[in-house]
Amino acid sequence: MNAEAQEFLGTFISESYYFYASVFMLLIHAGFLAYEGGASRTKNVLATMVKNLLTLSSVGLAFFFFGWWVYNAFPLFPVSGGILGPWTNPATNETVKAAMTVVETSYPWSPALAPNTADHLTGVFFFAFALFAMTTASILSGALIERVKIGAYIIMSIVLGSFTWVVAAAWGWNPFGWFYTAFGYHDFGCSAVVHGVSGFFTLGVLLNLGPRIGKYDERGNPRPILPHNLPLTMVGLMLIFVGFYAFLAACLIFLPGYTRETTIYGTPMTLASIGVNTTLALAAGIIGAYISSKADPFFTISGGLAGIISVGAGMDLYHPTVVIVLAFFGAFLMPKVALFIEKLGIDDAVGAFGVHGFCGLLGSLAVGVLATGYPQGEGVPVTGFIGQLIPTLICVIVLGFIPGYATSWLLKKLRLLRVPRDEEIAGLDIADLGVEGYPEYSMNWATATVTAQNRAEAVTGRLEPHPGMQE
Amino acid sequence: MSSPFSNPKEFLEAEGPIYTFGNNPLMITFLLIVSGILFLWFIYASYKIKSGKPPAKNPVALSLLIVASAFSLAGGVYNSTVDKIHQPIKRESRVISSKQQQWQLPITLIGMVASGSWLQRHSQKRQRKRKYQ
Repeated sequence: MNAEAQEFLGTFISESYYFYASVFMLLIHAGFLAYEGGASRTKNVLATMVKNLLTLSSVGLAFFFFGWWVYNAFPLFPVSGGILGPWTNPATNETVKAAMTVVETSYPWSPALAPNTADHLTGVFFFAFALFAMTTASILSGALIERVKIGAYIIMSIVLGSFTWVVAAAWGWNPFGWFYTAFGYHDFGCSAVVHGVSGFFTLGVLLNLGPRIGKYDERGNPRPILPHNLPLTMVGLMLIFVGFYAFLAACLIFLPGYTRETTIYGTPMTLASIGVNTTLALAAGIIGAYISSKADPFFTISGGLAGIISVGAGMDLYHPTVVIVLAFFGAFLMPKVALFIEKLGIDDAVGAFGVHGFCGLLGSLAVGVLATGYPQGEGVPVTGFIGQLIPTLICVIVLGFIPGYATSWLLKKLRLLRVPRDEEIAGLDIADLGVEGYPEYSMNWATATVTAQNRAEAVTGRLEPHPGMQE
Repeated sequence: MSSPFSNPKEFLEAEGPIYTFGNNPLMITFLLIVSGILFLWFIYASYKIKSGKPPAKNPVALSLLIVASAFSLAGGVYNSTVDKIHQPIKRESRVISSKQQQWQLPITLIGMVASGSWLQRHSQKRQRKRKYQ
């Protein structure tokens, strides 16, 4: 094999690695679809799943229009530079010059994103980041089921999936990001950057959205609204687990010419350790939630995810025994947090805040306790508690809670946030889509009557002669 | 400090272990013991946690109940046999009384089963209510 072929092989391996990791990440969405569909009631199952499905479109396209550019343009802003774009002079300094090489490939009109034999990697990184973005927005989707307007969800998914978390990633999951350069922030598996941001964004939205009708009694005590298909929810979470292995594998950086695997911060790591630690976090998380929730099936399987998120930020550095203890601890607390939130009158239908918000916060802060003193680069502070605390708080409050609350507040004022009461009672499948998820079974007389009317109208419409139609 | 490295060069060019507490085997041993305890707790808990059912009855009490019932049944059979042998004259009246007992027994059993299942359902409902409150 000649040198040119060897060089191209390196490029092809990188391109293939991120391509297939991203394809497997799509299983996270298959999982979220099943998870939320199972968690909803029969009258809302299709609307819930369609809403989740639309995340792929809303975030996928918005990420192409501006999200990918935001990731590359915001790392220096506002601490060590401005927002980078066509107006920026690359000769300003060496950092800006280096950053501009990627900014120029991230405009929607950039030739790097189109078929181009000179660039095999920009497109595949866009693909991976777009999947990250969809995952972040999907976390919001589950908590809002059964009462949010689809349009409102689409707007909020764009704000979260294509802007706020992307800014968090630009600051905290980017070698130029000021969280890293100024604080020595380390968040390998995006505990705060993805999960903390989305969990707290969700909390802000839930405060304005309000609980589902019937969730609380007259005294304000929570009542159970049970999932209509818990087995489907559990299968969904299993798919999410598979997707998470790919998500974490895609957090590894291996580019042509590299002689070792690194994190996004340039620090050494191994893919093998991600396999070991993800598996142990999954196992320990499940038992933590199993014991804590006294074998509640919903919390038990969510514990696997809670465990992975609790160790995500330092997974590249933790010894397996640290992973077991930390994942157990995070998942053990998760059901308590979810029930506490419920008691406060916040109806989080799938416990998204407990799993993603709380465990994301915990996971990011844990690096400041359990992985302190790592010197990540010349001039970069070593990892420590303050270096984790400040960026984590910025992620969860400034980029998570406040944008979530503000966006949903605005939508609420414009009466665009929540479906009308009668639609919520009848079920969103009929109200939004005009069909039921389970047409063979008449779940209640009201729904059956509406469906029968819809069907009759549809049949009549089909039988009526249309102009220009030949018999 | 849980990092085994003191400067960036040492860490970024490391060939070998880079994990937390890599220079502190005592801490790793301690965490390993904690992990083992958590695992044992899990196995123990898997026997003890029964969130959907009322807690199992005490096996000793159940055994005593079964033994007492068996004695009672055996006593009943013995008495009736003795009666049959020693009081043939009163057979007719006995037959009547035995017929009365035959139709009373199923009703009693149905009543017991019904009340038992009602009590179990009631207890499960109460438990479920408590769980979601």
